[in-house]
Amino acid sequence: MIFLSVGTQFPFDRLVKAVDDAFDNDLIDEEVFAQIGETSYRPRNFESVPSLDKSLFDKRLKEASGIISHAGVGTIMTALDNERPLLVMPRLKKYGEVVNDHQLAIAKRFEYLGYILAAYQEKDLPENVARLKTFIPRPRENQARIVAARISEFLYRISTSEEQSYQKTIDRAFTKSKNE
Amino acid sequence: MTCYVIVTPAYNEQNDIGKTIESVITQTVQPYLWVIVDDGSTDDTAKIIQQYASEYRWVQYLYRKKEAGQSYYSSNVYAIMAGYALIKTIDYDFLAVLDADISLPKDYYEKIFERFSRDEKLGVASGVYKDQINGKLRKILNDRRSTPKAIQVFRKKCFEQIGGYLPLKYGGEDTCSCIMARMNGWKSWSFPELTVVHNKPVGTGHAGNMLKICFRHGLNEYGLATHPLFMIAKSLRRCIKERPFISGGMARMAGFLYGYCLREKRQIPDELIRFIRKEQMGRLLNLNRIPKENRVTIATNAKTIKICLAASSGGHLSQLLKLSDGWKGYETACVTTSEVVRDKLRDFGRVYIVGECNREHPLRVILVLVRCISVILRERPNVVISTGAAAGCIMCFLGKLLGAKIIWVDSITNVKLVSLSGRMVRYIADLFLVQWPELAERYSNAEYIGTAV
Repeated sequence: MIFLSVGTQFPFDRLVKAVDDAFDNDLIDEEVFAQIGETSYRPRNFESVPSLDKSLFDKRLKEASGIISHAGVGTIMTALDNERPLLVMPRLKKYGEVVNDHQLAIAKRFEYLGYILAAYQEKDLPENVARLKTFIPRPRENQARIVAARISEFLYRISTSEEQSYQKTIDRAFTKSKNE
Repeated sequence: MTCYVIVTPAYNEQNDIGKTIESVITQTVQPYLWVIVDDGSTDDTAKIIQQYASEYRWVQYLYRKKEAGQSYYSSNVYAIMAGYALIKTIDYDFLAVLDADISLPKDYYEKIFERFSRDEKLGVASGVYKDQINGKLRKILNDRRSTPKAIQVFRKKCFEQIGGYLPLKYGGEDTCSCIMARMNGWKSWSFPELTVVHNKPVGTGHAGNMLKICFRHGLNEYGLATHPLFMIAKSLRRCIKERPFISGGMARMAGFLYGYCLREKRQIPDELIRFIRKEQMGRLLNLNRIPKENRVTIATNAKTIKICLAASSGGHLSQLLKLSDGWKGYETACVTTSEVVRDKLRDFGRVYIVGECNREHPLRVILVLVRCISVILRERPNVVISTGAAAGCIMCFLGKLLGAKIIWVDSITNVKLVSLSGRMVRYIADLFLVQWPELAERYSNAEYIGTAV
């Protein structure tokens, strides 16, 4: 079972239709379940719902053999955290699907790092769906931990300097009272 | 390594004791021994304690049969002393008394011991607890020098000098123990920055219960030989300072007068009575100022930094929470924009929902701004950490105005340019992290060390 998700904010019919068309041409031999947003497009070849509850979404995602989605950060993060093979198609500014091309950049970067597969045009989709079956995402170094460590170090410096300046005030108060 | 022991009296606590035990098991500093005294419970309390005792070898179960003629309060004291008899030969540093309906923060004892180490005259200490009254958490008004028995910690030598608690018919053994400690030259102090939640709501039902409690407090003031003049002043003060207003103070006074009418013999030694009255007259003359030699200054004001996390719900927030290791161990509060993520934030302190806003709706911006101002004034953080968007940006600027340090982590969705909020915050940020190497090159104070996702 492949789980197709376009995120909850806006529909992304270009992706849904591309998957649907691939079915027509017998290029996908797996079952698909899709979350497609509020849209008038109705897929002919697979079951779909407009939106999913967070818990149901996570369940579908965990059970799926592969995920196809837009290149939204939220979906990518969830898929990677659950170590699911993921194929993304970025939403593009030129089609009015998103306000800037950040999805394109994110897709390129994560694909380059070997974490995900990416299809940039509809015609690239079928071959990538086929690759998805055998695709094993490269194990991820936990970068968030490095960033967190940076923050932690920064906070430590602040807290110790606050402590020191406080200790100084106390010491001053003590010497003052002694002199009195 | 600090060696400490805990004694807990438990009477029919099956609903709360599990939570209490879990909160001790997860303490950052573990006790050497914990004696839980089952004070003749008739419910499943014993079963729960025994279950933990079989799992953790430092948890010990002790049964004490209820004895006729002992009031609820004195029975409690006898239970503690029975537990104490088991441990008094141990060479421990601190003795903690813990009620069976308390959930401790996981570094409670660590922080208490740290404070003990800063003032060698400190003999007995505690945090303060918040009671759930009518569904709301309220701090109980108290003399800084009184420590509630439920979360009290004694230095070994201090406890031995005062000889433990006195069984008092109407309660107040904790206040009494603090006074005895002071009589022996120790300091006693409750630290307001260490708050503990009382699981069992006191007087949840209606105000009537609260009055009853006040009445009992008055009665126990009589038992503790409070000076009548002091009592009048105290009741008047409580009339205006503590809920229920007016009636609470009156109920206290009434309980005290009732005690006088009964004329029961007080259970405390004369020497102690003289000391109590001397202290009280001193307080009256000094307008309730705590005398210098009694004050614990070093630890009370010790600054620990407080952090405010601010991010719009959704992508901004999930990126921020990926970094939660970064502020582990610090006190935090959160600001976000929508109610749906409240649950995700339950580990990160108080949560404030300020509502969504963006450039297109200036009125909403004003509303959010007002809410953010009230949050910042209440929390007064030392550091604001934000990933954006508008609300996070507002919090950063407000925080900076009050002298906070600002950490900004720009969202990964900004590839070629830092977000609009980020571009504004850049000028005031103390640490400005971006998630694309190209951006670090573009902006002088931006730093790239990796992604948050």
